[in-house]
Amino acid sequence: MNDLDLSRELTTLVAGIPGVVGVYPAGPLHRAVGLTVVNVAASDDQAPAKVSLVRDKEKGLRVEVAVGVLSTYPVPRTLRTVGDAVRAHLDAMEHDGGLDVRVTASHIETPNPAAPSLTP
Amino acid sequence: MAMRDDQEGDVGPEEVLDGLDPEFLDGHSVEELSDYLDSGRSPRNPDIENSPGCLIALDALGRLRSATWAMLEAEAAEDRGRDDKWIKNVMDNISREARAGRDIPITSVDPEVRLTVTEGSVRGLIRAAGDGVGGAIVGRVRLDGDVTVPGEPISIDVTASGVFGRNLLELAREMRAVIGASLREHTELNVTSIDVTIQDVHTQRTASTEVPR
Repeated sequence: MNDLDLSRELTTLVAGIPGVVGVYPAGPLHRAVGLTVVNVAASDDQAPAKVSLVRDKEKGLRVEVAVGVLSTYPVPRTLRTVGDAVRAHLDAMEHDGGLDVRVTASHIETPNPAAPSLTP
Repeated sequence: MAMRDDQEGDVGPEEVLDGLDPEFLDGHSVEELSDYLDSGRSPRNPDIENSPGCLIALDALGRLRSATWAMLEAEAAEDRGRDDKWIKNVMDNISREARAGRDIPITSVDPEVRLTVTEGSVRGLIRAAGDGVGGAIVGRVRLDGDVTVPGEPISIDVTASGVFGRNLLELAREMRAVIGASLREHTELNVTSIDVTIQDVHTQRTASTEVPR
């Protein structure tokens, strides 16, 4: 499996975790832009690839995931669930060297309640 | 209560959206986001919807509009310089605070997994909690202290405006309570103080005639 397919797999995996409302392009801008370009070129039936993968011969595989979390789910617990899921997925595959998984909550989505009354 | 001495030109709330730094919003201006909200976020703009900064700003703009836009427009018509300035400050702050900022660590038991939450998302969380208190509109949110180091003492500084007739001490107390609860649930910050400053009060006449109960 190439890294683009792996990124797609991980994006789909993370997007399905309870409390996750979005997966955003992660990593330095140029990599995120690169993934976006690939996504635009991909056919509609292909899942987006938003998880950043960087391979380093010495340091191993670095995975960066940026998610949006629904505020009805505690952010720390949701991030741990995402980290565990990504780790388990990668452990089931062969990869050389070390592993460095970074999961960031970049947006906490609060359900917009009915407008609160401003009058006392 | 803070004093405001600026008297700006004869413009309404929409016009004061101009001039904000789009760098904070991944190349999009608050005006663009405002138009996008007007369109019902349709057709979907993937560039905006994939930007956490834009999403944080859209959340804040949506709340501001749903709860206060009519009131602010009415007040702007009554005393334009006063409220244009206030609205512009809120918009500036929403734009500035939406940037990712510092990475705030979350404990991970796995040494190969690092977990963080962005400062921008926490500022958005605080703003949402404060805006959710009836009678309050958050103006600015600031996290003081080194949020990147676990356990460091952090103080939260929030400014807001209140509606005339509301007990301001009670309003500030409610805001502190909900903000504290949100931060305890969603972060591991060692919050040592939450300071809420009510800087403005909106008039009773406007509140009672322009905002439906």
